[in-house]
Amino acid sequence: MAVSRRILFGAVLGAVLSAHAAGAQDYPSKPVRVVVPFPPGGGTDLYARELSQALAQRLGQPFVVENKPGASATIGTELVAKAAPDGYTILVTSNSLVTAPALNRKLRFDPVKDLAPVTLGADQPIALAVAPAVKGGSLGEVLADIKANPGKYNYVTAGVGSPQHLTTEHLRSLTGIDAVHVPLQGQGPMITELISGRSQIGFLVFSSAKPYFDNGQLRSVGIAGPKRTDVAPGQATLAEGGIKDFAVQWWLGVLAPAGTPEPIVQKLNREIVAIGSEPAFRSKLAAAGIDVIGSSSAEFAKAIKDDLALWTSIVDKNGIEAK
Amino acid sequence: MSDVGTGLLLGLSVALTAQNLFYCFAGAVFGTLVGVLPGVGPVVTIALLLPVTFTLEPTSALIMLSGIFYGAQYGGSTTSILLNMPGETSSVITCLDGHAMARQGRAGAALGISAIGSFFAGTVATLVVALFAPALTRLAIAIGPADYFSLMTLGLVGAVVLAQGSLLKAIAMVALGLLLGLVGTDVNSSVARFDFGVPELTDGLNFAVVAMGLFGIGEILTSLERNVGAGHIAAYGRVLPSLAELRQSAMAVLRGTGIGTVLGVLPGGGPSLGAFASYTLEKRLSREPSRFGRGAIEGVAAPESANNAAAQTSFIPLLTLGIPSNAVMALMIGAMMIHGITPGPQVITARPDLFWGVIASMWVGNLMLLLLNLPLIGLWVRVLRIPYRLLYPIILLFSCVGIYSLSNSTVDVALAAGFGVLGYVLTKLAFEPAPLLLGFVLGPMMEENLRRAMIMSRGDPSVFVTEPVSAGLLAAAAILLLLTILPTVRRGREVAFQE
Repeated sequence: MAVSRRILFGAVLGAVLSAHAAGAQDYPSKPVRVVVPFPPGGGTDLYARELSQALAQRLGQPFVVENKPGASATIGTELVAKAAPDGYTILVTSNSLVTAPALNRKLRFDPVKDLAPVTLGADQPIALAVAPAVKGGSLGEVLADIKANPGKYNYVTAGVGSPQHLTTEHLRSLTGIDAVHVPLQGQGPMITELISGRSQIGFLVFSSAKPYFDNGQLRSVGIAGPKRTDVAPGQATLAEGGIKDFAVQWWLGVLAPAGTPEPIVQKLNREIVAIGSEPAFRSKLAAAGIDVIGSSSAEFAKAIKDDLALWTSIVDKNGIEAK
Repeated sequence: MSDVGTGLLLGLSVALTAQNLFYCFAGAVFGTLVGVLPGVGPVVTIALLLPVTFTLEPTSALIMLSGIFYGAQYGGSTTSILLNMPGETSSVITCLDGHAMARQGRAGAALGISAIGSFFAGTVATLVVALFAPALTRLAIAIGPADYFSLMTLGLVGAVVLAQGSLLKAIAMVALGLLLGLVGTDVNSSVARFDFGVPELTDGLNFAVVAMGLFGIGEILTSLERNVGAGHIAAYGRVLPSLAELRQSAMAVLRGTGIGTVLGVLPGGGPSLGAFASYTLEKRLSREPSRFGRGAIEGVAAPESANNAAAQTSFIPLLTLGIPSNAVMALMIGAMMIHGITPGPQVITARPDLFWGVIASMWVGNLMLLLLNLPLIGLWVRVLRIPYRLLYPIILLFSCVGIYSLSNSTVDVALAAGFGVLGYVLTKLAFEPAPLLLGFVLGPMMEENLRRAMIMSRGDPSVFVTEPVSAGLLAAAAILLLLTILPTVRRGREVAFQE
């Protein structure tokens, strides 16, 4: 009995070691599970599906998208954080990865320690949108009008603790504007509220709101990111418009469970960066409002740390509570 | 008007190409199939087929995905009627009278009227979409939180009408439904309520899980008590409704179509709400409300017409605003964006071929579904001959697969099993699950909109009576409440004496 157990242990150990030794050359030798912690149809899901298709073509194994939505994306994220670190379960998620811990949500995993960043794959540019009731053309004039009417305007978000909410709170604390928070469920209702005129201010994903900027029902007064982008043509950043230090990115990133062999992480990184430089891939995602980036894994790790600090300070400074 | 004419002609020329006819047909067939399978819904199917559509023309892709959505409304009633198991959440209410008809050997007539009603409603609603899309779009935008709250109030008062037995029990069920609706994260404070530390509960209970559990699994548990070796219904009668039945259903189909058309446009409304509302109205208007729940054909005709009408008109916010009114429409937006089309008000002018093509395909698809579903009735009713011991394990398996696929969660499967037990207990105690479901649907929307209206009015409650739409709906609710209380109290006594 003891002997057979030892043999079994040896065999398992051998298998584990050989799997590790095999490293990146043979990877992937079976289908890879791509977990998206959101329901199908959103920006993250679109990016994950396009990316999976491209990865499958290049690496010769299916990359299967699995939507595991729920609890502000923490259910799917936890699943990957606790999955076997063999490169066959990867995560495609948004910056909710860092907003959840910033909000002190009770998490059964550590988004920094339990996950290995692969690449910051893309960015969804967001714009500060205002309804016609808010006066002024430039960002400065708009802010002046909001300040001149404290408590008069409503701002819409996709719920307490949503990226839209945290971004607006950040704007509030940097500019001192005073408006009333109307939490809604998702971006669709946000647009409805804004074009109906019942609410006046909100951060919207630029591409989805563009038709309303074009037909004049809403105005964009600048994008929230650190620099201008082709996905939001002709849009100045809010920092350029005068809100110093305002730089908020709603990124989309790829991660693997912590402990995934470095050669595999790097192979995935190389492939995703290479896919991201293909013009066809870029333009397809640009049409859906997604700006393909493709950073190194170290750069992504730094972005996660920086963003965690930024969102935590926003939450603390504004006393936001979302359990 | 001539614009609409040109548009429809353009749309027909797009929808009637061989390629698009094929995708329309494929969508309709897929939709019918997932509609029939309990638990497996259009959301999952569309999500699975989304990658396939990447390689298609965007118009063809949308035509196929739309076909799946409204096709599911046709198929959804099948298992509701035959087995008392809703194939789709919008067909829950069809169980009440549809299954009662099946037990009386009138399954064919029930299936027939739901296909015919769906076709009529689909045709009318498609025309409405073509003619009035811009006007209805303004309605979807103009309805504010105060109006929603009052609409939900009207719905809740109506919910009591759903009761087949005791009024007190119906109110208890509505209250239980409201409480179940509280589970999950509160939109206004982001506090997770009644989640018991289970992360899956922080998003609230899924309507499909509750409905599948109470009706589907509950029905299986209840039937274990009955001694049934072979199929429980020997005769299934004629395959089509008789002339008398058609005449009886005509007004119900018309009213169901009207209600479904309007409620479908509202975000958050859609097929399920339309079905509930139209059934409630039919029962209220009927001279013999006691027939309802005992195989009244109007109780099948009205909700089945309403859910299909709502399925068509719920495309309006998508096509004219780019705003999804339900989960299926959110997927459609994904499908459009992946093809480089940003959904929004510009679609109608920038891509008229797509806008009108999809609308025209809806009518073509509805015709296909009618031709597909009428002959299938003979086949479906034969399902009743399959012995329970074979049929129910299969159904249970499909239900589990379907429920799991809602959000790939085993917690949902366990919850559905729990609601199955609750459904069994409720049946034993003669409590109706339908008012519970209505409370469950309306409660969260009511609370959310009440608080949103109060935030926007800066705490002034008079907003509910100063907004004209809201005031009108509240007045209607008050009148309905009076009409309900007076005769029901009287009738309740009579029933008590009879028992």
